[in-house]
Amino acid sequence: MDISKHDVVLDENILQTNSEIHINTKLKILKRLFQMVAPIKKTMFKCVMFGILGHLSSIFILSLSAMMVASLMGYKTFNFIYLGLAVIIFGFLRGILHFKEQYNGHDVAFRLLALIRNKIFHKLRNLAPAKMATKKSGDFVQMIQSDVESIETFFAHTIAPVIIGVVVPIIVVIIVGSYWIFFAVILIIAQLMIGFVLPFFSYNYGKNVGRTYRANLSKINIHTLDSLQGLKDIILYNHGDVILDQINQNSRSIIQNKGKIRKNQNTTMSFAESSLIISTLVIFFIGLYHASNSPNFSIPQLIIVVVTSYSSFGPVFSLIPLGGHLNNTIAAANRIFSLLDEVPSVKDPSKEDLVNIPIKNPGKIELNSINFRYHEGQKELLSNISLNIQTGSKIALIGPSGCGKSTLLRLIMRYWDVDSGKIKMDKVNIRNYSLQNLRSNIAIFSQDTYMFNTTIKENIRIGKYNASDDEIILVAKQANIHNFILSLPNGYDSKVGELGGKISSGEKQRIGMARTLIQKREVILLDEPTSNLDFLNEKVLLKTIYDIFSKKTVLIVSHRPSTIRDSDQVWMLKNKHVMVSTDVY
Amino acid sequence: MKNKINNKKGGPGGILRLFKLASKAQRYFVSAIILMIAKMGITIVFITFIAGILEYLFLTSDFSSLFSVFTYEFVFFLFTPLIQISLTVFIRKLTFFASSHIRTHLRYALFKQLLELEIGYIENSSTATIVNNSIEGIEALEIFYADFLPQLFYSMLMPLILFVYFLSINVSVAVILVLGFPLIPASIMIVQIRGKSLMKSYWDNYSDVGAKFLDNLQGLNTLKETGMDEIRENELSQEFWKFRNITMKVLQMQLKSILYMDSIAYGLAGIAIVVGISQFNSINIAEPHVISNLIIIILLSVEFFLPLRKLGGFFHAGMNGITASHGIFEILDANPNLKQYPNQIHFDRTLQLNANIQFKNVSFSFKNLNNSTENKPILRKMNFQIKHGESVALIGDSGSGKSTIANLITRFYDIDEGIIEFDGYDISKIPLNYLRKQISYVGASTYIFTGTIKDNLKIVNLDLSDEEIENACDLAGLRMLIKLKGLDYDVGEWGSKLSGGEKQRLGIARAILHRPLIYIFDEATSNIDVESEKKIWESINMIAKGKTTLIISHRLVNIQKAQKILVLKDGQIVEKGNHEELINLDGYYKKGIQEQEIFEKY
Repeated sequence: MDISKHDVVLDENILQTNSEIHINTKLKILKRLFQMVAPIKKTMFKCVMFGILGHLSSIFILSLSAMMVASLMGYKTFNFIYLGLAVIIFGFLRGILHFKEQYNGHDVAFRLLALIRNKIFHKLRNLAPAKMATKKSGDFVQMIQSDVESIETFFAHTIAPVIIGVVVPIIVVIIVGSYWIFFAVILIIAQLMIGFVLPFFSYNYGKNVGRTYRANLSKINIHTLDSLQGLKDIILYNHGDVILDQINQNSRSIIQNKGKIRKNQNTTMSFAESSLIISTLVIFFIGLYHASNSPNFSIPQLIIVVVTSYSSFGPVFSLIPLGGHLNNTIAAANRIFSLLDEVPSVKDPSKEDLVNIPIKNPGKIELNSINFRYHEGQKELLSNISLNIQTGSKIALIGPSGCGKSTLLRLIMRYWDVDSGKIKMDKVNIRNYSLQNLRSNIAIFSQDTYMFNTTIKENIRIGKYNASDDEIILVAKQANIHNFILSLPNGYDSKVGELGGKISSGEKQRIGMARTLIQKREVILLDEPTSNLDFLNEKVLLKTIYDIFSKKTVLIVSHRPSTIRDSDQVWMLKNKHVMVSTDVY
Repeated sequence: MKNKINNKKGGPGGILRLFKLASKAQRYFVSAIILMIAKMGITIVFITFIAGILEYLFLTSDFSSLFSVFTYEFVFFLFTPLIQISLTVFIRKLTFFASSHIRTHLRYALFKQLLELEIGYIENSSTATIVNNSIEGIEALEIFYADFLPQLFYSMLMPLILFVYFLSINVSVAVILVLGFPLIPASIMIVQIRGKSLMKSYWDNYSDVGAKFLDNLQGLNTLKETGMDEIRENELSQEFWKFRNITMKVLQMQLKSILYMDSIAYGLAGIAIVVGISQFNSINIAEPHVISNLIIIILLSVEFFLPLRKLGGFFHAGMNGITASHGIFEILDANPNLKQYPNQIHFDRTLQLNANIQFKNVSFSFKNLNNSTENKPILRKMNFQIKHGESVALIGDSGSGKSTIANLITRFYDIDEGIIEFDGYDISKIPLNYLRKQISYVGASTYIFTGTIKDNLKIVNLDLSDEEIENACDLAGLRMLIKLKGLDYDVGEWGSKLSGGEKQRLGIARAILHRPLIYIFDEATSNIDVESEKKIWESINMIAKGKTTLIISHRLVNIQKAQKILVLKDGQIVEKGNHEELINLDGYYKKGIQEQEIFEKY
């Protein structure tokens, strides 16, 4: 798989997220995540309720048992049968409640994840291609996989546990406090320590180690990808042992990073466990003191108190790892939200401006003194250019690389809007057509043909989704690729992914040409159509172009004299201006 | 016939395979589990002491003598938090160490396997998936080994130990609790078995969604240009929801096992406690050890299942590891390895190769990696010879088997029938490293590694001097580039800062530095513009002088100078000779030359 050629990435600033995020931004991100839950808050509510009841029932199993013992010891007389039955019922309920809590929580999470994934692709679709440069598409795959997955932690394992971790301890503290207020004080301190202070410290410490770990991981990802794609050369030149060494080094270095994260967890875990023991001991001892002094409080009550408080730490214990997770979640959500907030460079016209008619003569294109620059502050790329294109003409556009030839083609497709001046198609400013209407008249063919991982047939059908098989075969014949396709193991049904290196770039180009042909558009834009082709393939392709597009309006950009030889007109783009010439050669 | 395809011995083995791998760090796991038991022991003592004190006070009401009676207990209380902290840290360190060890081993084994597989495996798989398996996939195993696995063994052992302790306190309670013991692993097993196919389709779906997203993303411009983007977005959206649905199904299955586990654990604990308490009444409660035992029963009967509940907590993450392992084992199990032949010949100073290559009745076909149907043969009983110092060209239509021959000489694939000889030695008897040391291969697109020019050339040999590198670059036509940018020029990711021609020249420089006996140029200029093409052929012709060279090109002008031209058609050689001889023959070659001349003139 050749990733390098077709990789897509946004402007760099969109993916700049490895740095520290400001606290206000973090709060905004959390708020936004909460807002996402709002439409399905009912399910979330169920999750929280079941969670609270579940945790309470596991506490009650023990407290009620302790009450039974206390009652045997002469403290009040409870109904033994009811209490015993309650203990057993709570025991069986606990599992069901826990299941319901988890199921509802994940239901919320995975619904939202599908939604977010959808939003990401929708956004990318709107942003492409203007706001994309060519680079790492791996980052986006990581976004819809691991980033979206880290948000799962927030929806399924953060919101509900936090609410449960507040409500359940409050209930227990009230129960224990009803025996003596100091029990409540001790229990509150211990619960806060485990549920709030420890996660907070681990959050602060985890920020940095987590970031280093992820940065290192993505470095290693790139190294592995590089080694795999160059595997053939590595094998041929016997470089494998060196790579294996590097892979071991990589493993060691991420283990070192992971080790630091683990150490952080170790510290918090051991502090949490000792907090539990110490608070139990303190409650035990002040209980002993209270029992020796107070006539209303004796050993049976103390048993109830010790057992109840000892068994009440479940909810806060599940909060401990959240500090670390929250870092991941916020970083991931930040990456996703910055993408979703990006504004596309062109928009459909407003209702008043819309010219909603089929374009009768799309081949007639006028450029009226247009100016264009990519970013504000940059120098102008095209300056005061005026041109007229007649229907059916074949125009070649030449000029040094980087002069704006390809940009000009893409301005006609309205990937960007011109800064001033007008581009008209059939006498109407292209800004007044809907993007869909405008673009459905234009086909563009460029030096790289992207092959989708499906059958050859479907790859051609990308040009026209409802094309019949006969139509596909016809264009394949026109593009001179029919015989090649038939030579493949499964003919038109051969899968691109399984062909591996069996398709050359010349053959890919011809499949791309078939795809262009099947669109049956009136305006054909050719952007360096032959630059990846060797001499022979170039000739084959050019013959196709001039034979089949004889009636269409063709605009061809190339730096090769041989490619543009047969055009009606040659335009030379140089220093922001265009010189029109009928006989440059 | 090759029978090595698809003998899926057991297939990707999931959890049992992961257990087996754990034996690589057995000592650490065993020590960790022993320490976990010790930690539990301290908790038991802690609870017993508290229960004892409560009972003593209830029976005697003697608060004043408390410290003298329970001196040891108080000292123990003082040290408990400290002991617990050290045990926790130590256990977690041990299991992390063990898990790191296994993960390092796996990552190494994975890449080693890729180096040894037939090249077809990697050419036909998605590199993104393999990267994902070898990095994120193996990382996902951390929780499996560091937390899930030790907890699993611990939760098998601990209830047995607690059972023995409970027997000494109250037989009926012990019996009730131990009833739950086999039920829990059984429920895990049932879920494992029932969920096997579900897990597989989940995992397939997972990598599918990623691959489809990537595919649509990389082709996004095309989709927008043809107006297919909305249709594709809807398809993708369906994929996302399908994935969500299968995820929920998997989750429901996993949660159900936790549901059974929880219900059994808590339900039985409740019953045990109630049974324990109901054996006493307000009179015999005052007998020695009754109250303390009841407190112990209450607090410990939940501890009895605590390890299992903790296991439930790791279940989700542990399962992710098991899921990830499928992708890893799939690669480790991938079968088309090159065969290991016995009786390898030993080469040294006295026994060296000379580069006479002979194909004798060689037949070959690609195996479909996904199913066992045989593809059509690529080479059929092929015979030819390349003599020492000779330059031989292979021509023919695409699919005629030209490049396959290059791949067979370098032994990227094993042949089905016949024999390929190197100076009379069967190449399968020549150690692979030694064989490949003799060959330099330049294909249609040279892979450029991220790094500098020097890095890219040093993959041939780390000890190359700058002078050697510069000389090779000169020969390959890179003099200007080196002069302008220097050897330490960073070529960008995938050589993005180099032109197609420069990349190919870098490939040629690599080939030169390898100092082979044989050069193979396989469509070395087919992706290059005309301007660069001519210059590269000049370099190639210079290098080829006096060396054994195999040239593959579909553009016939480039190979006219070859001493011998072989015309391939449908996996067989149909014409053989030099340019003049073949023109006189008036066959495929002449027809091809004529066809191409028409285009060249166009």
